[in-house]
Amino acid sequence: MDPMDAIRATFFEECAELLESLEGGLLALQSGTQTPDTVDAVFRAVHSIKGGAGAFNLSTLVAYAHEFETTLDALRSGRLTASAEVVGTLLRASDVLGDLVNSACLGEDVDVPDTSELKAVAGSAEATPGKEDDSDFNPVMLNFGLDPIPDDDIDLAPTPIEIETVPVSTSTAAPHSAVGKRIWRVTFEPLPELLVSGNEPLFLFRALEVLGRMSVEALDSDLASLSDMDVSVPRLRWSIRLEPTATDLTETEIESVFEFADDICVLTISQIKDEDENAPSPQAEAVPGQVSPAVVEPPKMTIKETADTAPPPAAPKPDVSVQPTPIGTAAPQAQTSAPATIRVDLNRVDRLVNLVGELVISQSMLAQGMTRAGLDQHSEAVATLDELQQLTRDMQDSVMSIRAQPVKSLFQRMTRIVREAGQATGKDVRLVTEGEGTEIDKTVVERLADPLTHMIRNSIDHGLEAPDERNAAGKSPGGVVRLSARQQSDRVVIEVSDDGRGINRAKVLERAIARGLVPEGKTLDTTEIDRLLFLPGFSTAQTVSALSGRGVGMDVVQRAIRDLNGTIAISSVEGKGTSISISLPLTLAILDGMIVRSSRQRMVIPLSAIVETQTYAAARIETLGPNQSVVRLHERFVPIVDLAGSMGFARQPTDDLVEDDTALLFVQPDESGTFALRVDAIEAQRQVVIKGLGENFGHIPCVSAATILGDGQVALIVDPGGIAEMAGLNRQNPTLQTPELAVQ
Amino acid sequence: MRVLAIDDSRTIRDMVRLTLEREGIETAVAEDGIHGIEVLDSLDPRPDAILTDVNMPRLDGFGFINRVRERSEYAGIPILVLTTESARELKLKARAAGATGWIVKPFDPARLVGALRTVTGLT
Repeated sequence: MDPMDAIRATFFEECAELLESLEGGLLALQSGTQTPDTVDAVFRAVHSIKGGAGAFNLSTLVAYAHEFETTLDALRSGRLTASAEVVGTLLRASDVLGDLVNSACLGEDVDVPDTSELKAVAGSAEATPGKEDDSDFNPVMLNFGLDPIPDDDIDLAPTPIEIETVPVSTSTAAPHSAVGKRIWRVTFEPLPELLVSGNEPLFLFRALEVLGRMSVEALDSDLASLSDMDVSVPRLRWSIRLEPTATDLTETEIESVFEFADDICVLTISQIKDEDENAPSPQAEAVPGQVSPAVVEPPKMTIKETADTAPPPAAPKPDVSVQPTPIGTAAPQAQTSAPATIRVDLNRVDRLVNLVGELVISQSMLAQGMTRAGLDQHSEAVATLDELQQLTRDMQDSVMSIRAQPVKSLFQRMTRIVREAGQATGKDVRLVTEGEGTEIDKTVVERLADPLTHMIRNSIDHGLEAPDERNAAGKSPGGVVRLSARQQSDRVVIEVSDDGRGINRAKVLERAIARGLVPEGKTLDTTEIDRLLFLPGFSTAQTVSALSGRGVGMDVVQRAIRDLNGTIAISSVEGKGTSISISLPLTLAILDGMIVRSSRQRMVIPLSAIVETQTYAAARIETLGPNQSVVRLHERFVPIVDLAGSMGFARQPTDDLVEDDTALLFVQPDESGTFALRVDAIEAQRQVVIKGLGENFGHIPCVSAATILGDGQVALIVDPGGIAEMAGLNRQNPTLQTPELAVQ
Repeated sequence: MRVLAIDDSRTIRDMVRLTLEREGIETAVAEDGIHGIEVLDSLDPRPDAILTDVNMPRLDGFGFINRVRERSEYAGIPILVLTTESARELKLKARAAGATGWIVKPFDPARLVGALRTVTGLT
């Protein structure tokens, strides 16, 4: 990758972080939980975005960030108070800034958004002048080529540098007209501040020397005797004769060498004729205004070719030696004092995760090998293997924790969704978040953004009532959406709940019947009605392309969660609110699974989907017609699906089929209901390393991934939700699991 | 030449590093003033020049320069301030803190390198 592309990528990555900290800070201001640094941090975030944007010539972004920054500066300096109205404006501005960053990232050309609101807010603070001279931020496109540098990209603020324009003879008045070289005479007298500032006369002369041949005379008339010498007071002045290499050298070019010394030295620059040379430093006494003129003495020291010479002996600085020693040896030391975090390429972490996965597989193969070899359970080898297993598990946890990320950033993103959805629907909504520190795999965090967005929009759109309706119901006019995360053993539960009107079950049922999802006249219990919300085709928005739009179906949300090996559940109390909870694995790399055998195939069923197991023999089974049977699970009947059969494996006459081993796994992949999977045998329950099937296979409906078992064999990881769909449990027979039907 | 560059923006740090390293200037970086002091103290020998941003968390650029100027072992080390503001007031502040010079962001690479060469007297 071109290094600039890499930096550009870094910039947008950094922008995301800065926007997050910006929004976090503004929200803290809004809720009154800010710290003394909050306003500074908010200002810095916008300032940094502007700075980086300038380097990439993202002028729209720069322009908007500039306005934003100006307003924040008023806040920072105390001219503006963080009232609710002001913070509201700033939050909206942060949304706009985020959009502009996105557009810039995508390379879209957009106009500078309306800044009148920001300006109005900032304007109300303009009792005192704002940032001085703040409109001179001109983006400079980085150019690493050799193009000439435009002079106006840097602010050479004209200032106390006073340049004596010496009248020159008419023959030299026009710079380009004369034949032969022009000679420049520069006198330089440092003020005490120059030495403190780290500017070194010798280096200035070296820089000047680049422009041509020069000779330097030190004028030491003011030099005190050694005993009286104060090293902090410069006593030397220099007179320089410069014979430029380029005939058209301008005064500005000479002046620019002294740019950083402009206000801390007395400088004169003049052009002399060759013949004037013998009259040394005619301008040496022209020390305008600042220092009393000194009598020009004949030069006592002459330094020629300064680059090869030591600094003038009187240069009163104790330690200016600069050793051009390679930095290489020092770099590692700098590393050790770096902060406690490092940035690591995600690919490297993933490689590590994969390697640990391989290690887990090898180790379980080793364990099986040892068992087959008939090693004594008390042998040293077995004990060591146990230790190895423990270490591997610890290592796995450590590696997974590298990928873990707090959900805070995700939750913060939702504040904007709430704000926007609230505005769009005219509802007053407050988002309350809990458990922001809960950590979950980075990929999961990223892939949760869309489903959470839809869930929150649904809550606000359908769950929360309008203010007057809430008033009528005796509720506060403002609704609350609560977003919480917590870890429950090896899973993370994320819950979106609202204090709205709850699910109107009569209406849901009516609609489901209207859409042909439920036969007319059917009575369903509340849980079953709630589950209807997850049926494909229930929602008005049916296509996946509507994912980013509003009113997306909960079936799409459910699909996204299922893809993450997660489950989703809904509960609701009419008039009080609705709560949807998502349970997710901590990682996408490892899965707790049950290894089963079905028609000679070994497969893995995610443990998270299994509610109960029964032996086939002990189960109470009823037959419904030739191909369908149901089994009693507690007070209800659920359909039985043969695992291998449903996946299209031909049922093989098997030698190793033992009737007694046949088992039923009651699985509940999601809210769509429970069913029983018939397998030939349950082999083991263990953690397996998830291996993608690779793109060649495309999407296989009832297989989510594969794994390598301890004996080196590949086993498919089954997606129970997909099985339910393949078997047509949800769509064609949504009421199959109702007791009435099953018992008939 | 060896330079320590301090900026809280990763983008700017990367950019400065790229710019300088293309010119064969070895570059150490730090993320804020406090970190800058830590890195500076760990560099042996000391860098030939320091570039620092102004607006940074924990310890800003001026605070950083003040601390460096208090230490005799860093006497005379040139420090350039990287700033997006070119307002004269800011320059005066930089000067008061003991800065050697200033570079306005977004910086022109050639200008930055030129300024470093000037203040260090090195190529």
